[in-house]
Amino acid sequence: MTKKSILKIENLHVQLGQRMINQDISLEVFDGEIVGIVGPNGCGKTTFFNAISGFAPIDTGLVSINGLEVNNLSPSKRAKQGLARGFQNVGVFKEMTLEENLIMAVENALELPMYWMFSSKHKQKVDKLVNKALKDVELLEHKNSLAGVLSGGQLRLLEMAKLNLSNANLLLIDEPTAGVSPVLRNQLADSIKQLSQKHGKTIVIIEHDLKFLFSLVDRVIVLVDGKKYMEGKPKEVQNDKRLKEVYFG
Amino acid sequence: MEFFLQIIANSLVLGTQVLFLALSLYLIKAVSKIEHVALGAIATACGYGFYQGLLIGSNVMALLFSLVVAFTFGYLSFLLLEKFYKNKEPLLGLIVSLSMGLLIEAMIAIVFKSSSKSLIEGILPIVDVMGVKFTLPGVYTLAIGFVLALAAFVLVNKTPIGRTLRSVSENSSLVSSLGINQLKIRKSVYIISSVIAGIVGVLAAMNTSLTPNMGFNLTITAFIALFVGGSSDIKGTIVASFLLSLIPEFLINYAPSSFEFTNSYRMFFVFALALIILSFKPRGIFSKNIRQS
Amino acid sequence: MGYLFTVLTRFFWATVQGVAGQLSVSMAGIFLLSLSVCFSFSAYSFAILSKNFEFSFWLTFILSLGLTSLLGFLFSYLYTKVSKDSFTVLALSSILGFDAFVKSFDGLTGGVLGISGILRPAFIGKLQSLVIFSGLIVGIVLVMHYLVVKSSLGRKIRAFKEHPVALESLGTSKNSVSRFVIIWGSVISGIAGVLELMRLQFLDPSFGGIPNLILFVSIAILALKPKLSSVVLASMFVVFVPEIISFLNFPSQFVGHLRTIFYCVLLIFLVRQVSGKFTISKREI
Repeated sequence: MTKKSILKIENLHVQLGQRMINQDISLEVFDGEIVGIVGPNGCGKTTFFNAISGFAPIDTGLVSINGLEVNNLSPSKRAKQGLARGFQNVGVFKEMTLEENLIMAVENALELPMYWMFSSKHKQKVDKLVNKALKDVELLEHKNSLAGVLSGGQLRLLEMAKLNLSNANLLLIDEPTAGVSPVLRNQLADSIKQLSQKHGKTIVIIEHDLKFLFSLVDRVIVLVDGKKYMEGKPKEVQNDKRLKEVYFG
Repeated sequence: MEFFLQIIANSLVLGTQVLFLALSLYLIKAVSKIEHVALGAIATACGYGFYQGLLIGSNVMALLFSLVVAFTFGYLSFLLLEKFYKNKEPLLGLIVSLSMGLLIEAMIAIVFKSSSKSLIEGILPIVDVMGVKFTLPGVYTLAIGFVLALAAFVLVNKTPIGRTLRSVSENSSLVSSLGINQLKIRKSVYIISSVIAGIVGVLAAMNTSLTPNMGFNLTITAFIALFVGGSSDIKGTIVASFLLSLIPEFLINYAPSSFEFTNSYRMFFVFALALIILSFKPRGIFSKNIRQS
Repeated sequence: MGYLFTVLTRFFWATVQGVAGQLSVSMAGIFLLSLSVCFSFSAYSFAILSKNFEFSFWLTFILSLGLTSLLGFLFSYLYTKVSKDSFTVLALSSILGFDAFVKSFDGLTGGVLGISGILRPAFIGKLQSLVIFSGLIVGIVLVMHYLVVKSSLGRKIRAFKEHPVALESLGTSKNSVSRFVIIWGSVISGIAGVLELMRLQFLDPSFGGIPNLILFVSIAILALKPKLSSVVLASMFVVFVPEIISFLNFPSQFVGHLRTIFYCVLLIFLVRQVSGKFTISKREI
């Protein structure tokens, strides 16, 4: 049975100012896959994510999400097509409580009416979802605390919980282990695996921690100088001499 | 033809006054990213300092008074905006600066009353240059303005001082780690900017008259010139200062007779111009696209 | 009693203006300094409409708010087009631009002489009735503001201030949020403008302007937390304290400037106090 294409990128070129950041990148991600993106600093990984999610303009090329061409759609409209995004600097609202952060994800996912907080039926449903999501990432006890009091790793977990609650089937996660302690990394890895295996999300991850990434992903794409350098299974890529040259010179 | 040249001459003088303040705003924005709106009030205060010096003694006393006022308010601005107000959110700095400016104007009005004062009694001396008439203060404005604009352009764009100025606002800790006393630089810039503002305050007051809130309109025009020109581009600031004086002047004097635009339309035209230019060129007329990080 | 009623009406419209300031400056992080233009514009629209047409009070009120919402729409369009700093500069200079407009188009606005003899409708003919009416209007505005603050819209507005990119990634357009804040804030300011116009029954170019700007910014910064009580308490402080101060024996030359001095000193100290807690909406990714 052929798997459904969730993300398709054809000959993507992204130029910012005078510099071509991404050059001729083509890629297809199928339903349920976890794909990793690696590359040295400044090779255009985050710009690549920005172009997919609509935060960077596409020069030429095509981006399709769930079979729909999204080149002309704004970021919020792309989100409605089934895309959710994690950010390098954590896409969490630190001046809101954990509960409020997750409520924002749920509201958009369920398209709740504006008056939902005055309806006990909706309130119960939302409470249940939020409590479960917080419990899954072991943050239930901080439900009413401001997100700003959390550690870096906890913020990442909160972001995972947010991504889980969104009704997106395609998740772009940008350097999830940045600033996270080794202990929490395992929890983070479990969280990402759950998103894929239990909730059926298709995930694309940018990551520098190759050990963390290779234990998670089905496929790895290496970007160098804005171009796709190589693509393959984790073991193939790991053993490839060219990758070692790229990272260690 | 003479009328046309006279319009240009008047616009040049007004544009130079705007340029003085725009340069002061530019320098402070370069080191601390704050829009120091109070510079207009400081200009006015220096004008009143000059006036007070004239009342007491001679021109020298007047110059000294206005310099002392400039130095004092420059230092006070530095203390207020750099030391007292710790947050580096520039727009909040604008609010603090606006409050400071309004306080200065209120104090001036309390001490000197709201009625206008003249620095030069009687008719202003006129200089005739090939049929085009300039007031003497206008000539001084143009001469000093030309030198200042050139000096600022060269200093900011071509010298290490300009690089240092720009780096201080970007990352002051990094600048300090290079052994540069960034606080001293900021303090100097605040004082120098106040002195430049003071010069325009005195010259503008000589050309027209002194009133407590005369600086505000000029500051806003200078402010607009800074953004229309591109707040990180001194060349743009220079060009925009003259554009924003020239175009309204032409509109007022050359509009079809059915329109009857008077001088009171000036700020309206400046605002409308800024709206149009910034809608098409949000980062200024000489802006380049830069990568947002 | 007349003095008390005057102060109360001033408190009421300041509260309404403070709501607009809290919504835009504190909650959304949009330095909508043009709110004082909307305050004046709405009052001028009301005055011009009531002088030139025979509409009822309510129709004139609604029409003036409608025109103010159009002005708000223009500012919201501008907000999406220019940089944050440029928008602030343009919003600030719009005060002077509007002042110049009012003084220049004297056939419409009365120029420097303004518009006088603006009659109140019979049901608010007396100052006491005006106070009650203003109180009711404030109550309605506060209820609507409560609904906004507590709803998902309020959360989106706060999210817009803190992390507009993350907000977009959740499927909410940041432009639609900013548009709502600017238009709705402008309309609320317009309501405040008409309330004050009803008290004064006279308009001139000095109506609104910079004093109005520093008033609502003071309230917005005092009322940093998105709560109704903070707006009401802030308005009380900002309106009543200068009135109390005016009873002290200041020399006569201070009298006309006391309020300005109070607001400016207050703002300088307030900004220092809240500076660590204040983040302005960052629009770049």
